[in-house]
Amino acid sequence: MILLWIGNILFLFVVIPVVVIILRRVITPAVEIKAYADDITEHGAQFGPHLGALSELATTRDLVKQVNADLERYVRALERIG
Amino acid sequence: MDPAYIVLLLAVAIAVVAIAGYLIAIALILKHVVNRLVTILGAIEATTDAAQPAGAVIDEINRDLDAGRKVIENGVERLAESREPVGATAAPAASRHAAAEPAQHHGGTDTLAEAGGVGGGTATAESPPGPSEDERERLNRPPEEEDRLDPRTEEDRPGRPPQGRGRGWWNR
Repeated sequence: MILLWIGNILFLFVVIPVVVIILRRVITPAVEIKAYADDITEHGAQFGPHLGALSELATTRDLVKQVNADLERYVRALERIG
Repeated sequence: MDPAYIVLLLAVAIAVVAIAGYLIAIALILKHVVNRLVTILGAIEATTDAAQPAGAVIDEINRDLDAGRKVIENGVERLAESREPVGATAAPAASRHAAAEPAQHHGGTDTLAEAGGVGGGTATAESPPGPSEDERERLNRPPEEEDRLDPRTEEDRPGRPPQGRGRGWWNR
């Protein structure tokens, strides 16, 4: 019976605190991972709005083509004047 | 029942509850993280889909801009070539100016040796002879001294503007 009491005391004051400490060492990085994931989501998920201007690239391409055509006309007119 | 067994049961129950609580907390955290990762992966995939055709479009824009630059360069070269005969006619004028400049420079010198064409740009075999000794001395004299030595009044000296009065160009 005395051994059972000694076992109980050891279990309550040694084993359970050690288990708690180990679990805390596991849960602390998990909490940090959660915070990092939140941060990445907050800042990384905004790629889409920032890349909204990519849809305007087609307009830019068309405008550059128009500028090229007008530029050729302008150079030809200059040569005619010169 | 022996109280030792009851304490043991309570201790085991406490341990199990603690372990279960921590495990549940870790599982919830992992679930949250997985959800966030799914969100992030979705955003990255959408970004990749949106940015994938941008490379070809940017290449096309670069080609167009390069073609425009070449058009401008060729136009400038052709204009320069068409303007070149005008520059060729202007070159003799510049050379005439360059030839006239030394003569003008030496003609306006202070000393007689330079004014007489000795070493001047216009000195040739057909140049008129240099001034005489008296003329050379007079030319080398400072204007103030010449005025002082000249007994004539300002009105009597032809070709020289009146000094010290009026608003003519000579008093500016």
